[in-house]
Amino acid sequence: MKIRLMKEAGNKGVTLFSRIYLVLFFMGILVAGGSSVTLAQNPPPGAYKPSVPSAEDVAAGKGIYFKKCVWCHGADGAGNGASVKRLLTKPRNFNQGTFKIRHTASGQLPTDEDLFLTVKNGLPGSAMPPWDGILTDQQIKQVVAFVKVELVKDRKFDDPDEEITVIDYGKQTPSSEESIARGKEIFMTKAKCVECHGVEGRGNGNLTQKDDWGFPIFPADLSKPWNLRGNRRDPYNPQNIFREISTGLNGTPMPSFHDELTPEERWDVANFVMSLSHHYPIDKETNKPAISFVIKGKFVKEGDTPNDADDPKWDALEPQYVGMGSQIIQPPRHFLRTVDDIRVRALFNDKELALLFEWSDRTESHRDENRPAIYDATALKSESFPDVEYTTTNLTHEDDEQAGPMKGVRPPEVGTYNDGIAIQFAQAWQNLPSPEKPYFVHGDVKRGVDIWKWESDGTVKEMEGRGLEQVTVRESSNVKVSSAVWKNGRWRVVMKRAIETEDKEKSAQLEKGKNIPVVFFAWDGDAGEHDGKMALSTYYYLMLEPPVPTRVYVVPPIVAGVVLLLEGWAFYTARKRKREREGAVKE
Amino acid sequence: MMKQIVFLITLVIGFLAASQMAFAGGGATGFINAGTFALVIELGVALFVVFLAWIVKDKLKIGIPKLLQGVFIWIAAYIVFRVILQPPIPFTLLAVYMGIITIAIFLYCSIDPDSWEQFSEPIRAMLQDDTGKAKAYRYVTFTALPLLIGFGTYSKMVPKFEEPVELRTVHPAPPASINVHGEIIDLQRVLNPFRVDNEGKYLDVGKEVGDFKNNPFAEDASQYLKNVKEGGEIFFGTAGCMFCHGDNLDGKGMFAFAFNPIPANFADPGTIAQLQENFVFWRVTKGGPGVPRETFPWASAMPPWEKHLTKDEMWKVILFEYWHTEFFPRTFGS
Repeated sequence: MKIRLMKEAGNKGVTLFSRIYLVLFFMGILVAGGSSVTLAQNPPPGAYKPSVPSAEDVAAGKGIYFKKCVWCHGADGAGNGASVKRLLTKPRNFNQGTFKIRHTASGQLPTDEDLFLTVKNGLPGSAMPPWDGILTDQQIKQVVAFVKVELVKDRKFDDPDEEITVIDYGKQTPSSEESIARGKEIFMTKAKCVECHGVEGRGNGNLTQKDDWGFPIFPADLSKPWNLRGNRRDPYNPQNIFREISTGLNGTPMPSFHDELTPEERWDVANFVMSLSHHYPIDKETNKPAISFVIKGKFVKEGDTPNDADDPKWDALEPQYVGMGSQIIQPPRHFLRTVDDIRVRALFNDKELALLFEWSDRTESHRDENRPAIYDATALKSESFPDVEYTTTNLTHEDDEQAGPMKGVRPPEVGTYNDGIAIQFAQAWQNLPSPEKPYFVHGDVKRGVDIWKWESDGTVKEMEGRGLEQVTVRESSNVKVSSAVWKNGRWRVVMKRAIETEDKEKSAQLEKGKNIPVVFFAWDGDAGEHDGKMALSTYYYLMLEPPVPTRVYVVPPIVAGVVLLLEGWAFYTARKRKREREGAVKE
Repeated sequence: MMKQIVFLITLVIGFLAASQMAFAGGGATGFINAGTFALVIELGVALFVVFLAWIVKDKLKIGIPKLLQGVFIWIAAYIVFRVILQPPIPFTLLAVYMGIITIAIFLYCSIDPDSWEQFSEPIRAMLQDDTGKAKAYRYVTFTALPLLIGFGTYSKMVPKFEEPVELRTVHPAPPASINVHGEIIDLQRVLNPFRVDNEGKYLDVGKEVGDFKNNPFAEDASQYLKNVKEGGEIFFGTAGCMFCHGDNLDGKGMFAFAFNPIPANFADPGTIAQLQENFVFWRVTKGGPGVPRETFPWASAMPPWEKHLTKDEMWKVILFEYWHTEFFPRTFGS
């Protein structure tokens, strides 16, 4: 219809100008629709006056709030919705008007744009999701209006005494070795960032701090920028870091360095912080590093597999990102895993496989009944909400008569446990009819698994799993750990095993060029993790690089030769036809 | 006239293929918005291309050789399918779509002898002519083609790190009845005991629509809404469903990035909106381990909730999920 209308218009002699305009109009629609460019721009630096929302917007925002937001932020906006007892980063209590991610000076209220962008992009690493694509920009503005007017109670956005100053980004210093070196110097000495964030930025400094509401709070792990709350779904952009250094995070121990550091110095620190992470490509669906489900094992041509994590042989491989969730399926259910990813590398030769596991862990934990765990659920209480039971690991119905066979099962929990890492193979995986596998959480009754587990007390076990409740340590084990070092908030563990072992039934046998199903598990003893209370991945495949067969080098040249012959034939016939045609013309 | 018809058919086939893919992609990642959105974009792009072609051909009087046209369309289609459409489609599907596009282009170009003449003219010239230009083209083509095909063969043959293709049934057939906490539940007949009006009578599916925008926390909330509120508090609190299924029930919770298969997206019309409430009850009670082989019981992180929740709590959560997403459970007849 549209086409026809335009055609008629065109026939009536529309000018070239209007035609170009139409093209641009169409392109504009496509660009506007196809990109996720935010409509809100940062306000200019200097004094800022927040808008006064209309009563209609506040009313519309209330409707949205009680459908989407209330479950976490609570009916009064006090951050005490139903989810509060399950989360480690608690939902924001709006009542005090304390907001972390802002463009405004320390302690000040945020701009409208800040709140809009927080709702739109979410707060990565917390439960707050990006509402982009779920709520329209209009709806986000409405819900922000409702929060500003009705739920921020202790301060008022229209209070003339509320001073709001937007920070100035100044002139951005592009990242360079010099800038990073200067930033590092400031990070380590002048600004003392290192005291909380640690030497390599993994947040392993001061772990005993609390936020304004009395909840324990832990320094950010700067080596995972995709988890930083204020990353605005653009995790490798140093602007976000510059902003947070400049404004501080209200309500948290993170101060503002606006007066201590010049803008140039803050840019240098931001560039240094960005250099602390491995820049994986980001998956737009999850806003986390893109995951490849095949772990690539590389063949070591000369010498042995490395015993040490520092061995340069590992440099031949990228550390592969493996996402970790919590074991929430069976008792002891666990919502609070602190290891949200591990990095895996695999090298092998004809004799053995060597796996390098690396993961962030703020503390080196060892079993100690007398030392309370840092992330212990009972320690995560706050005086602000005395009536909320802050348990993150309990069963939902320990004593309920109705609630199934698991009632009453609750493991005793005392003190700190060992850190640990494990990889799980299916027993006799070669014989399983594809795509069948054992249950990913330590196997099932029918299909057993072979688990290789290391713990921070130095023990290395090979276990047989037939379900979470039926894990037995095997007496003969071929698994070794040649090196396990915790340094600067990170474990690096090298685990080894022979490619083939004697017990073909219970021990997984490795084969080149096959997709070997594996699952990863990790334990943080300071989150009270042990046995089934753990972080876990989903199914991955380990593939040991197969040798390249000779035919790969023989067949392609033959194919190319055949194509060449065909070309010759086509050329010959075409020329022949041409000659014939010309001959016919002459006659 | 014939040409226009063929062109239109090509357009429709391409459009259907693209929209189906957009839907499939949307369903897989749980983005209804992205799905419909992609559909609109496809339509826009198709219209725009037609418009652009008209401008170039009829208004600006620029003639593009037939062969070049075909190549352009082929490349454009490839870019759309391979780069623009997100998430990426599997190679097998891409091959099918590009096959359709190739056939369509040949159909379009060979619809009458004139057109075919135009289309094949450059190829004939390349093979037959004796001009310097033709010779240059000939040398380039004759060297590039075997090299390209040889290289393609090589990259197909060289061993690669690839996941095996495993196809999973998302909504398997449910059993006739299940045993929950010692009670046999007939899945054909059971109704959600909390889908009730203020008098406690069963609220027929569809009648709850009036409460979709109402506040479950209001004091004068209906009995249905009060049950919804309890369901929401179980979803977010007691059970912690949001860790996987997300605060917006879109399957993008905090743990979702780590799991494969990804958690179900209730906000997508392809999940609970397609299912009967008692089917959802079955999936909630028995979880990942309770599904048949074709749904990969070994891979799903969905807990069997009968181990953690009472039957009442599970029904309330289901009630909440439909209220929050504003979908109606599927019903059959009366």
